[in-house]
Amino acid sequence: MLKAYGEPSNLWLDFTRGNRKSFTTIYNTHVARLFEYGMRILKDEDQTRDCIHDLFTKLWANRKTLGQTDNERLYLLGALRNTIMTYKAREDRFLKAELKPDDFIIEFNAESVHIQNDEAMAQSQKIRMALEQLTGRQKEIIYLKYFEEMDYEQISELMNISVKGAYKLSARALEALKVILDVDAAMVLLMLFQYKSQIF
Amino acid sequence: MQEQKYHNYSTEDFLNDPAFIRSVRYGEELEFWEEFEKGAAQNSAYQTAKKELAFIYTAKRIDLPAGFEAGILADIDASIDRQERKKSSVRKLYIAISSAAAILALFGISLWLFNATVTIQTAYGEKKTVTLPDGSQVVLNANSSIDYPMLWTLTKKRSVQLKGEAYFKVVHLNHDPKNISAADRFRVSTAHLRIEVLGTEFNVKDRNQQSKVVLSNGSVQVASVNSGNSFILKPSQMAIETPNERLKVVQTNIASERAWIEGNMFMQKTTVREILQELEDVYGQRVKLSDPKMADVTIDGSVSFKSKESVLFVLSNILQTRMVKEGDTVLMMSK
Repeated sequence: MLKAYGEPSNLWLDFTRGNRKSFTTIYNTHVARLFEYGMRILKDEDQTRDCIHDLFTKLWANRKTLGQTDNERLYLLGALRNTIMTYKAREDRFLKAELKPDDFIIEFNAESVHIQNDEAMAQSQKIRMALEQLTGRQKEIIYLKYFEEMDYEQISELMNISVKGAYKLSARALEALKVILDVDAAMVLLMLFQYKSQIF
Repeated sequence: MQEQKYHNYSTEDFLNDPAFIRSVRYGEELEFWEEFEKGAAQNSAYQTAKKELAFIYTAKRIDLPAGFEAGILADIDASIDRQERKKSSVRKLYIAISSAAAILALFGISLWLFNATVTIQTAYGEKKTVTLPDGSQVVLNANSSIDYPMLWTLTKKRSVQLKGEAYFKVVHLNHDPKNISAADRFRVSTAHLRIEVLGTEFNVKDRNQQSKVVLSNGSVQVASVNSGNSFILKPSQMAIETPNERLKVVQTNIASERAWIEGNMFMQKTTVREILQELEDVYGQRVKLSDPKMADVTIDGSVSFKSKESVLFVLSNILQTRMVKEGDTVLMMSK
Protein backbone atom coordinates (compact mmCIF):
# COMPACT_ATOMS: atom_id res chain seq x y z
CA MET A 1 0.00 0.00 0.00
CA LEU A 2 0.94 3.63 -0.34
CA LYS A 3 2.82 5.21 2.46
CA ALA A 4 1.55 8.22 4.31
CA TYR A 5 3.21 11.59 4.26
CA GLY A 6 1.54 13.52 7.02
CA GLU A 7 -1.53 13.72 9.15
CA PRO A 8 -4.60 12.09 7.63
CA SER A 9 -7.64 14.30 7.24
CA ASN A 10 -10.43 14.12 9.78
CA LEU A 11 -12.66 12.79 7.06
CA TRP A 12 -10.34 9.84 6.48
CA LEU A 13 -9.97 9.23 10.23
CA ASP A 14 -13.74 9.27 10.71
CA PHE A 15 -14.12 6.79 7.87
CA THR A 16 -11.51 4.39 9.33
CA ARG A 17 -13.39 4.60 12.64
CA GLY A 18 -16.54 3.39 10.94
CA ASN A 19 -18.38 6.56 9.89
CA ARG A 20 -20.44 5.62 6.83
CA LYS A 21 -21.22 9.25 5.96
CA SER A 22 -17.52 10.12 5.75
CA PHE A 23 -17.05 7.04 3.61
CA THR A 24 -19.78 8.20 1.23
CA THR A 25 -18.28 11.71 1.11
CA ILE A 26 -14.90 10.24 0.16
CA TYR A 27 -16.57 8.19 -2.55
CA ASN A 28 -18.48 11.18 -3.97
CA THR A 29 -15.35 13.34 -3.95
CA HIS A 30 -13.18 10.94 -5.88
CA VAL A 31 -15.39 8.70 -7.99
CA ALA A 32 -15.11 10.83 -11.16
CA ARG A 33 -11.30 10.78 -11.12
CA LEU A 34 -11.23 7.10 -10.30
CA PHE A 35 -13.63 6.36 -13.12
CA GLU A 36 -11.52 8.25 -15.65
CA TYR A 37 -8.31 6.56 -14.55
CA GLY A 38 -9.97 3.15 -14.53
CA MET A 39 -11.48 3.69 -17.98
CA ARG A 40 -8.09 4.66 -19.40
CA ILE A 41 -6.66 1.31 -18.28
CA LEU A 42 -9.65 -0.97 -18.78
CA LYS A 43 -11.42 0.78 -21.69
CA ASP A 44 -14.65 -0.81 -20.49
CA GLU A 45 -17.36 0.80 -18.42
CA ASP A 46 -18.66 -2.39 -16.79
CA GLN A 47 -15.22 -3.57 -15.77
CA THR A 48 -14.37 -0.15 -14.38
CA ARG A 49 -17.62 -0.20 -12.46
CA ASP A 50 -16.78 -3.63 -11.02
CA CYS A 51 -13.33 -2.52 -9.96
CA ILE A 52 -14.57 0.65 -8.25
CA HIS A 53 -17.25 -1.40 -6.51
CA ASP A 54 -14.63 -3.92 -5.34
CA LEU A 55 -12.32 -1.17 -4.22
CA PHE A 56 -14.85 0.59 -2.01
CA THR A 57 -16.38 -2.54 -0.49
CA LYS A 58 -12.89 -3.74 0.41
CA LEU A 59 -11.94 -0.34 1.80
CA TRP A 60 -14.92 -0.51 4.11
CA ALA A 61 -14.29 -4.09 5.14
CA ASN A 62 -10.64 -3.37 5.93
CA ARG A 63 -11.10 0.14 7.27
CA LYS A 64 -9.66 -0.69 10.70
CA THR A 65 -6.37 -1.90 9.29
CA LEU A 66 -6.01 0.56 6.41
CA GLY A 67 -2.88 2.67 6.14
CA GLN A 68 -3.44 6.30 7.00
CA THR A 69 -3.01 8.83 4.25
CA ASP A 70 -2.89 12.59 3.92
CA ASN A 71 -3.56 12.32 0.20
CA GLU A 72 -6.81 10.51 -0.37
CA ARG A 73 -6.72 10.90 -4.14
CA LEU A 74 -3.24 9.40 -4.45
CA TYR A 75 -4.19 6.63 -2.06
CA LEU A 76 -7.41 5.81 -3.89
CA LEU A 77 -5.85 5.94 -7.38
CA GLY A 78 -3.12 3.59 -6.17
CA ALA A 79 -5.63 1.26 -4.56
CA LEU A 80 -7.74 1.26 -7.74
CA ARG A 81 -4.66 0.51 -9.83
CA ASN A 82 -3.91 -2.50 -7.59
CA THR A 83 -7.53 -3.63 -7.80
CA ILE A 84 -7.40 -3.41 -11.59
CA MET A 85 -4.12 -5.32 -11.77
CA THR A 86 -5.58 -8.07 -9.60
CA TYR A 87 -8.68 -8.04 -11.79
CA LYS A 88 -6.65 -8.31 -14.98
CA ALA A 89 -4.47 -11.05 -13.49
CA ARG A 90 -7.65 -12.97 -12.75
CA GLU A 91 -8.88 -12.44 -16.32
CA ASP A 92 -5.80 -13.92 -17.96
CA ARG A 93 -4.75 -16.22 -15.21
CA PHE A 94 -1.30 -17.11 -16.39
CA LEU A 95 -0.02 -13.67 -17.24
CA LYS A 96 1.52 -11.33 -14.76
CA ALA A 97 -0.63 -8.24 -14.94
CA GLU A 98 1.26 -5.30 -16.37
CA LEU A 99 0.26 -2.50 -18.62
CA LYS A 100 0.79 -3.42 -22.24
CA PRO A 101 1.45 -0.69 -24.90
CA ASP A 102 -2.21 -0.27 -25.70
CA ASP A 103 -3.35 -0.73 -22.11
CA PHE A 104 -3.59 2.93 -21.31
CA ILE A 105 -5.66 5.09 -23.58
CA ILE A 106 -5.29 8.77 -23.88
CA GLU A 107 -6.62 10.31 -27.04
CA PHE A 108 -4.90 13.51 -27.94
CA ASN A 109 -6.98 15.60 -30.23
CA ALA A 110 -4.96 15.29 -33.41
CA GLU A 111 -7.91 16.75 -35.31
CA SER A 112 -7.60 19.98 -33.42
CA VAL A 113 -4.52 20.80 -35.45
CA HIS A 114 -6.35 19.89 -38.58
CA ILE A 115 -6.52 22.64 -41.16
CA GLN A 116 -7.71 22.39 -44.65
CA ASN A 117 -4.51 21.92 -46.53
CA ASP A 118 -2.47 18.95 -47.59
CA GLU A 119 0.47 19.74 -45.44
CA ALA A 120 -1.67 19.78 -42.35
CA MET A 121 -3.31 16.53 -43.39
CA ALA A 122 0.13 14.99 -43.64
CA GLN A 123 1.03 16.38 -40.21
CA SER A 124 -2.13 15.00 -38.72
CA GLN A 125 -1.33 11.61 -40.18
CA LYS A 126 2.21 11.80 -38.79
CA ILE A 127 0.91 12.65 -35.34
CA ARG A 128 -1.49 9.74 -35.33
CA MET A 129 1.24 7.29 -36.25
CA ALA A 130 3.66 8.68 -33.68
CA LEU A 131 1.05 8.50 -30.94
CA GLU A 132 0.64 4.83 -31.57
CA GLN A 133 4.31 4.40 -30.72
CA LEU A 134 3.76 5.61 -27.15
CA THR A 135 3.63 2.75 -24.64
CA GLY A 136 0.86 2.33 -22.12
CA ARG A 137 3.17 3.30 -19.29
CA GLN A 138 4.34 6.41 -21.15
CA LYS A 139 0.76 7.46 -21.70
CA GLU A 140 -0.07 6.74 -18.09
CA ILE A 141 2.75 8.85 -16.75
CA ILE A 142 1.72 11.75 -19.00
CA TYR A 143 -1.78 11.44 -17.66
CA LEU A 144 -0.72 11.31 -14.01
CA LYS A 145 1.77 14.13 -14.41
CA TYR A 146 -0.36 16.60 -16.33
CA PHE A 147 -3.94 15.68 -15.53
CA GLU A 148 -3.60 14.42 -11.96
CA GLU A 149 -0.69 16.85 -11.46
CA MET A 150 1.33 14.43 -9.41
CA ASP A 151 5.03 14.83 -8.70
CA TYR A 152 7.54 12.15 -9.58
CA GLU A 153 7.61 10.76 -6.08
CA GLN A 154 3.86 10.20 -6.05
CA ILE A 155 3.95 8.77 -9.56
CA SER A 156 6.74 6.37 -8.67
CA GLU A 157 4.74 5.15 -5.71
CA LEU A 158 1.58 4.76 -7.70
CA MET A 159 3.16 3.01 -10.68
CA ASN A 160 5.45 0.99 -8.46
CA ILE A 161 8.66 2.20 -10.09
CA SER A 162 11.66 4.16 -8.78
CA VAL A 163 11.64 7.96 -8.81
CA LYS A 164 14.54 7.81 -11.25
CA GLY A 165 12.55 5.42 -13.42
CA ALA A 166 9.60 7.83 -13.37
CA TYR A 167 11.89 10.66 -14.55
CA LYS A 168 13.21 8.55 -17.39
CA LEU A 169 9.81 7.31 -18.43
CA SER A 170 8.41 10.83 -18.46
CA ALA A 171 11.41 12.19 -20.40
CA ARG A 172 11.04 9.49 -23.02
CA ALA A 173 7.30 10.15 -23.39
CA LEU A 174 7.83 13.88 -23.74
CA GLU A 175 10.63 13.31 -26.24
CA ALA A 176 8.30 11.20 -28.36
CA LEU A 177 5.63 13.89 -28.19
CA LYS A 178 8.12 16.56 -29.18
CA VAL A 179 8.93 14.68 -32.36
CA ILE A 180 5.24 14.50 -33.10
CA LEU A 181 4.90 18.19 -32.61
CA ASP A 182 7.75 19.16 -34.83
CA VAL A 183 5.43 21.50 -36.62
CA ASP A 184 5.56 25.18 -37.40
CA ALA A 185 4.67 27.85 -34.94
CA ALA A 186 1.55 28.96 -36.74
CA MET A 187 0.04 25.57 -36.22
CA VAL A 188 0.87 25.73 -32.54
CA LEU A 189 -0.91 28.97 -32.15
CA LEU A 190 -3.94 27.64 -33.93
CA MET A 191 -3.80 24.53 -31.83
CA LEU A 192 -3.64 26.56 -28.66
CA PHE A 193 -6.55 28.66 -29.77
CA GLN A 194 -8.63 25.59 -30.45
CA TYR A 195 -7.65 23.98 -27.15
CA LYS A 196 -8.64 27.05 -25.16
CA SER A 197 -11.92 27.33 -26.98
CA GLN A 198 -12.61 23.83 -25.74
CA ILE A 199 -12.30 24.60 -22.10
CA PHE A 200 -13.55 28.17 -21.91
CA MET B 1 7.92 34.92 -9.67
CA GLN B 2 11.56 35.07 -10.71
CA GLU B 3 11.70 35.51 -14.41
CA GLN B 4 15.45 35.02 -14.42
CA LYS B 5 15.61 31.26 -13.89
CA TYR B 6 13.35 30.56 -16.86
CA HIS B 7 15.81 32.05 -19.33
CA ASN B 8 18.12 29.08 -19.00
CA TYR B 9 15.38 26.44 -18.93
CA SER B 10 15.36 23.54 -21.38
CA THR B 11 12.10 22.23 -22.83
CA GLU B 12 12.16 19.43 -20.30
CA ASP B 13 12.68 21.88 -17.44
CA PHE B 14 9.61 23.81 -18.53
CA LEU B 15 7.61 20.62 -18.81
CA ASN B 16 8.54 19.77 -15.23
CA ASP B 17 7.75 23.19 -13.84
CA PRO B 18 4.45 23.32 -11.92
CA ALA B 19 3.96 27.09 -12.45
CA PHE B 20 4.46 26.70 -16.18
CA ILE B 21 2.13 23.71 -16.28
CA ARG B 22 -0.59 25.64 -14.44
CA SER B 23 -0.22 28.62 -16.73
CA VAL B 24 -0.80 26.45 -19.79
CA ARG B 25 -3.52 24.39 -18.19
CA TYR B 26 -5.49 27.00 -16.28
CA GLY B 27 -4.10 30.31 -17.60
CA GLU B 28 -2.67 31.13 -14.15
CA GLU B 29 -0.31 34.12 -13.84
CA LEU B 30 -1.09 35.03 -17.44
CA GLU B 31 0.46 38.53 -17.11
CA PHE B 32 3.78 37.13 -15.97
CA TRP B 33 3.96 34.65 -18.80
CA GLU B 34 2.88 37.15 -21.43
CA GLU B 35 5.64 39.44 -20.18
CA PHE B 36 8.10 36.56 -20.26
CA GLU B 37 7.00 35.61 -23.75
CA LYS B 38 7.68 39.13 -25.05
CA GLY B 39 11.22 39.04 -23.71
CA ALA B 40 11.81 35.52 -24.96
CA ALA B 41 10.15 35.44 -28.33
CA GLN B 42 12.99 33.45 -29.71
CA ASN B 43 13.29 31.12 -26.69
CA SER B 44 12.66 27.92 -28.61
CA ALA B 45 12.80 25.76 -25.48
CA TYR B 46 9.85 27.68 -24.08
CA GLN B 47 7.95 27.63 -27.35
CA THR B 48 8.40 23.90 -27.81
CA ALA B 49 7.38 23.19 -24.25
CA LYS B 50 4.30 25.33 -24.57
CA LYS B 51 3.37 23.69 -27.84
CA GLU B 52 3.89 20.20 -26.45
CA LEU B 53 1.97 20.80 -23.28
CA ALA B 54 -0.88 22.43 -25.14
CA PHE B 55 -1.04 19.36 -27.28
CA ILE B 56 -1.09 17.13 -24.25
CA TYR B 57 -4.05 19.05 -22.91
CA THR B 58 -6.02 18.38 -26.05
CA ALA B 59 -6.52 14.89 -24.69
CA LYS B 60 -10.18 14.09 -24.43
CA ARG B 61 -11.33 13.71 -20.85
CA ILE B 62 -13.54 10.86 -19.84
CA ASP B 63 -16.60 11.93 -17.91
CA LEU B 64 -18.78 9.93 -15.58
CA PRO B 65 -21.83 8.67 -17.45
CA ALA B 66 -25.14 9.92 -16.10
CA GLY B 67 -26.38 8.00 -13.09
CA PHE B 68 -23.10 6.21 -12.69
CA GLU B 69 -22.07 7.86 -9.42
CA ALA B 70 -25.31 7.07 -7.58
CA GLY B 71 -25.54 3.68 -9.27
CA ILE B 72 -22.23 2.31 -8.01
CA LEU B 73 -22.79 3.85 -4.60
CA ALA B 74 -26.06 1.95 -4.29
CA ASP B 75 -24.23 -1.27 -5.26
CA ILE B 76 -21.44 -0.58 -2.81
CA ASP B 77 -23.90 0.15 -0.01
CA ALA B 78 -25.81 -3.04 -0.73
CA SER B 79 -22.60 -5.12 -0.72
CA ILE B 80 -21.39 -3.56 2.51
CA ASP B 81 -24.74 -4.15 4.23
CA ARG B 82 -24.69 -7.77 3.12
CA GLN B 83 -21.10 -8.10 4.30
CA GLU B 84 -21.86 -6.61 7.70
CA ARG B 85 -24.91 -8.80 8.21
CA LYS B 86 -22.87 -11.87 7.35
CA LYS B 87 -20.04 -10.77 9.59
CA SER B 88 -22.31 -10.12 12.54
CA SER B 89 -24.07 -13.47 12.19
CA VAL B 90 -20.73 -15.21 11.82
CA ARG B 91 -19.50 -13.35 14.89
CA LYS B 92 -22.59 -14.36 16.85
CA LEU B 93 -22.09 -17.96 15.84
CA TYR B 94 -18.43 -17.73 16.74
CA ILE B 95 -19.25 -16.29 20.16
CA ALA B 96 -21.87 -18.96 20.75
CA ILE B 97 -19.50 -21.75 19.77
CA SER B 98 -16.58 -20.41 21.76
CA SER B 99 -18.64 -19.83 24.89
CA ALA B 100 -20.09 -23.31 24.62
CA ALA B 101 -16.58 -24.69 24.22
CA ALA B 102 -15.33 -22.63 27.16
CA ILE B 103 -18.15 -23.82 29.41
CA LEU B 104 -17.57 -27.40 28.35
CA ALA B 105 -13.84 -27.07 28.99
CA LEU B 106 -14.46 -25.49 32.39
CA PHE B 107 -16.93 -28.20 33.22
CA GLY B 108 -14.50 -30.86 32.07
CA ILE B 109 -11.62 -29.39 34.04
CA SER B 110 -13.65 -29.10 37.24
CA LEU B 111 -15.00 -32.58 36.76
CA TRP B 112 -11.48 -33.83 36.32
CA LEU B 113 -10.18 -31.78 39.27
CA PHE B 114 -12.88 -32.95 41.62
CA ASN B 115 -12.38 -36.53 40.59
CA ALA B 116 -8.61 -36.38 40.35
CA THR B 117 -6.87 -38.47 42.93
CA VAL B 118 -3.41 -38.74 44.35
CA THR B 119 -2.14 -42.32 44.28
CA ILE B 120 0.63 -43.62 46.44
CA GLN B 121 1.74 -47.21 46.07
CA THR B 122 4.42 -49.51 47.34
CA ALA B 123 6.32 -52.24 45.54
CA TYR B 124 6.98 -55.70 46.89
CA GLY B 125 9.17 -55.46 50.00
CA GLU B 126 8.69 -51.71 50.27
CA LYS B 127 6.98 -49.71 53.07
CA LYS B 128 6.03 -46.05 53.03
CA THR B 129 4.82 -43.58 55.62
CA VAL B 130 2.49 -40.97 54.10
CA THR B 131 1.20 -37.78 55.71
CA LEU B 132 -2.21 -36.86 54.32
CA PRO B 133 -3.31 -33.22 53.74
CA ASP B 134 -5.15 -33.16 57.10
CA GLY B 135 -2.05 -34.32 58.98
CA SER B 136 -3.21 -37.92 59.40
CA GLN B 137 -0.53 -40.53 58.91
CA VAL B 138 -0.67 -43.75 56.96
CA VAL B 139 1.92 -46.51 57.08
CA LEU B 140 1.57 -48.40 53.83
CA ASN B 141 2.65 -52.04 53.79
CA ALA B 142 4.35 -53.59 50.76
CA ASN B 143 2.36 -54.27 47.58
CA SER B 144 -0.38 -51.81 48.59
CA SER B 145 -1.78 -48.50 47.44
CA ILE B 146 -3.93 -45.62 48.63
CA ASP B 147 -5.86 -43.06 46.60
CA TYR B 148 -7.19 -39.79 47.95
CA PRO B 149 -8.83 -36.76 46.29
CA MET B 150 -6.47 -34.13 44.97
CA LEU B 151 -8.78 -31.34 46.23
CA TRP B 152 -8.99 -32.91 49.69
CA THR B 153 -8.69 -29.56 51.49
CA LEU B 154 -11.20 -27.89 49.15
CA THR B 155 -13.87 -30.56 49.26
CA LYS B 156 -13.32 -31.11 53.01
CA LYS B 157 -13.82 -34.79 52.38
CA ARG B 158 -11.37 -37.01 54.20
CA SER B 159 -11.60 -40.14 52.16
CA VAL B 160 -9.04 -42.77 51.27
CA GLN B 161 -9.25 -45.83 49.05
CA LEU B 162 -7.05 -48.70 50.10
CA LYS B 163 -5.77 -51.77 48.35
CA GLY B 164 -3.57 -54.06 50.45
CA GLU B 165 -2.66 -53.20 54.02
CA ALA B 166 -2.13 -49.98 55.92
CA TYR B 167 -2.00 -48.62 59.46
CA PHE B 168 -3.87 -45.35 59.96
CA LYS B 169 -3.26 -42.68 62.59
CA VAL B 170 -6.15 -40.31 61.98
CA VAL B 171 -6.08 -36.75 63.32
CA HIS B 172 -9.13 -35.91 65.39
CA LEU B 173 -10.82 -32.79 64.04
CA ASN B 174 -14.13 -32.85 65.92
CA HIS B 175 -14.30 -30.76 69.10
CA ASP B 176 -17.99 -31.10 69.86
CA PRO B 177 -19.17 -34.73 70.02
CA LYS B 178 -22.81 -33.60 69.82
CA ASN B 179 -22.23 -31.89 66.53
CA ILE B 180 -20.24 -33.97 64.08
CA SER B 181 -19.78 -32.44 60.65
CA ALA B 182 -19.01 -34.27 57.42
CA ALA B 183 -15.51 -32.82 57.42
CA ASP B 184 -14.85 -34.42 60.83
CA ARG B 185 -15.34 -37.92 59.46
CA PHE B 186 -12.49 -39.88 57.98
CA ARG B 187 -13.43 -42.69 55.60
CA VAL B 188 -11.41 -45.62 54.37
CA SER B 189 -12.86 -47.83 51.66
CA THR B 190 -11.57 -51.15 50.49
CA ALA B 191 -13.08 -53.51 47.95
CA HIS B 192 -15.15 -55.04 50.75
CA LEU B 193 -15.37 -52.60 53.65
CA ARG B 194 -16.40 -49.05 54.47
CA ILE B 195 -14.69 -47.71 57.56
CA GLU B 196 -15.61 -44.44 59.22
CA VAL B 197 -13.79 -42.83 62.11
CA LEU B 198 -13.34 -39.50 63.84
CA GLY B 199 -9.81 -39.87 65.09
CA THR B 200 -8.20 -43.16 66.00
CA GLU B 201 -5.49 -45.62 65.17
CA PHE B 202 -6.37 -48.78 63.34
CA ASN B 203 -5.04 -51.36 60.91
CA VAL B 204 -6.85 -52.28 57.74
CA LYS B 205 -5.99 -55.24 55.59
CA ASP B 206 -7.85 -56.27 52.45
CA ARG B 207 -6.07 -59.01 50.58
CA ASN B 208 -7.12 -62.21 48.81
CA GLN B 209 -10.85 -61.67 49.43
CA GLN B 210 -10.20 -61.43 53.17
CA SER B 211 -10.72 -58.08 54.84
CA LYS B 212 -10.05 -57.09 58.39
CA VAL B 213 -9.96 -54.01 60.54
CA VAL B 214 -8.25 -53.96 63.91
CA LEU B 215 -8.66 -51.05 66.29
CA SER B 216 -5.79 -49.80 68.48
CA ASN B 217 -7.71 -47.07 70.29
CA GLY B 218 -10.78 -44.85 69.95
CA SER B 219 -13.64 -46.32 67.96
CA VAL B 220 -14.42 -47.09 64.35
CA GLN B 221 -17.50 -48.01 62.44
CA VAL B 222 -17.04 -50.82 59.95
CA ALA B 223 -19.64 -51.73 57.35
CA SER B 224 -19.58 -54.54 54.84
CA VAL B 225 -20.18 -53.58 51.23
CA ASN B 226 -21.64 -57.00 50.40
CA SER B 227 -23.91 -57.73 53.37
CA GLY B 228 -24.51 -54.23 54.65
CA ASN B 229 -23.64 -55.49 58.17
CA SER B 230 -22.07 -52.84 60.34
CA PHE B 231 -20.33 -52.82 63.72
CA ILE B 232 -18.71 -50.34 66.01
CA LEU B 233 -15.36 -51.67 67.17
CA LYS B 234 -13.73 -51.18 70.53
CA PRO B 235 -9.98 -51.35 71.05
CA SER B 236 -8.53 -54.86 70.61
CA GLN B 237 -11.50 -55.93 68.56
CA MET B 238 -11.20 -57.03 64.96
CA ALA B 239 -13.88 -56.95 62.27
CA ILE B 240 -13.26 -59.65 59.69
CA GLU B 241 -14.99 -60.77 56.52
CA THR B 242 -14.00 -63.74 54.39
CA PRO B 243 -15.60 -65.24 51.29
CA ASN B 244 -17.17 -67.89 53.53
CA GLU B 245 -18.17 -65.74 56.47
CA ARG B 246 -20.09 -62.53 56.77
CA LEU B 247 -18.60 -59.60 58.64
CA LYS B 248 -18.16 -60.42 62.30
CA VAL B 249 -16.30 -59.10 65.32
CA VAL B 250 -13.70 -61.07 67.24
CA GLN B 251 -11.15 -60.35 69.97
CA THR B 252 -7.56 -60.09 68.83
CA ASN B 253 -4.07 -59.15 69.83
CA ILE B 254 -3.20 -55.68 68.56
CA ALA B 255 0.52 -56.22 68.80
CA SER B 256 0.41 -59.18 66.40
CA GLU B 257 -1.78 -57.30 63.91
CA ARG B 258 0.55 -54.35 63.74
CA ALA B 259 3.79 -56.30 64.01
CA TRP B 260 4.37 -55.85 60.26
CA ILE B 261 5.14 -52.18 60.84
CA GLU B 262 8.33 -53.23 62.65
CA GLY B 263 8.96 -55.94 60.05
CA ASN B 264 7.84 -58.87 62.17
CA MET B 265 5.12 -61.49 62.13
CA PHE B 266 3.68 -62.85 65.37
CA MET B 267 2.27 -66.33 65.22
CA GLN B 268 -0.24 -68.05 67.46
CA LYS B 269 -1.19 -71.36 65.96
CA THR B 270 -0.61 -69.80 62.61
CA THR B 271 -0.53 -72.23 59.71
CA VAL B 272 2.35 -72.45 57.27
CA ARG B 273 -0.27 -71.68 54.58
CA GLU B 274 -0.97 -68.32 56.18
CA ILE B 275 2.72 -67.48 56.45
CA LEU B 276 3.32 -68.39 52.81
CA GLN B 277 0.34 -66.23 51.79
CA GLU B 278 1.85 -63.29 53.70
CA LEU B 279 5.19 -63.95 52.04
CA GLU B 280 3.56 -63.84 48.62
CA ASP B 281 1.56 -60.71 49.46
CA VAL B 282 4.50 -58.75 50.84
CA TYR B 283 7.39 -59.98 48.70
CA GLY B 284 5.64 -61.51 45.67
CA GLN B 285 7.47 -64.71 46.45
CA ARG B 286 5.69 -67.97 45.63
CA VAL B 287 6.60 -71.13 47.51
CA LYS B 288 5.66 -74.69 46.60
CA LEU B 289 5.66 -77.49 49.14
CA SER B 290 6.64 -80.98 48.07
CA ASP B 291 4.20 -82.35 50.67
CA PRO B 292 0.86 -80.43 50.80
CA LYS B 293 0.38 -81.56 54.41
CA MET B 294 3.19 -79.22 55.44
CA ALA B 295 0.82 -76.29 54.84
CA ASP B 296 -1.29 -77.30 57.81
CA VAL B 297 1.59 -77.25 60.25
CA THR B 298 1.02 -74.55 62.87
CA ILE B 299 3.69 -72.33 64.32
CA ASP B 300 3.92 -70.15 67.42
CA GLY B 301 6.37 -67.34 68.01
CA SER B 302 7.82 -64.53 65.97
CA VAL B 303 9.43 -64.46 62.52
CA SER B 304 11.39 -61.56 61.11
CA PHE B 305 9.75 -60.39 57.92
CA LYS B 306 12.46 -57.83 57.14
CA SER B 307 13.65 -59.92 54.20
CA LYS B 308 12.10 -62.80 52.30
CA GLU B 309 15.32 -64.82 52.71
CA SER B 310 15.00 -64.77 56.52
CA VAL B 311 11.37 -66.00 56.29
CA LEU B 312 12.30 -68.74 53.85
CA PHE B 313 15.25 -69.79 56.00
CA VAL B 314 13.15 -70.05 59.17
CA LEU B 315 10.33 -71.94 57.44
CA SER B 316 12.67 -74.32 55.75
CA ASN B 317 14.28 -75.09 59.06
CA ILE B 318 11.01 -75.66 60.89
CA LEU B 319 9.69 -77.90 58.13
CA GLN B 320 13.04 -79.61 57.72
CA THR B 321 13.21 -79.16 53.98
CA ARG B 322 15.79 -78.11 51.47
CA MET B 323 15.00 -75.30 49.05
CA VAL B 324 15.27 -75.50 45.29
CA LYS B 325 14.72 -72.48 43.08
CA GLU B 326 12.41 -73.11 40.15
CA GLY B 327 12.29 -69.87 38.23
CA ASP B 328 10.39 -67.37 40.38
CA THR B 329 9.13 -70.06 42.69
CA VAL B 330 10.93 -71.69 45.61
CA LEU B 331 10.29 -75.40 46.06
CA MET B 332 10.60 -76.82 49.61
CA MET B 333 11.36 -80.53 49.51
CA SER B 334 11.28 -82.85 52.52
CA LYS B 335 14.73 -84.04 53.45
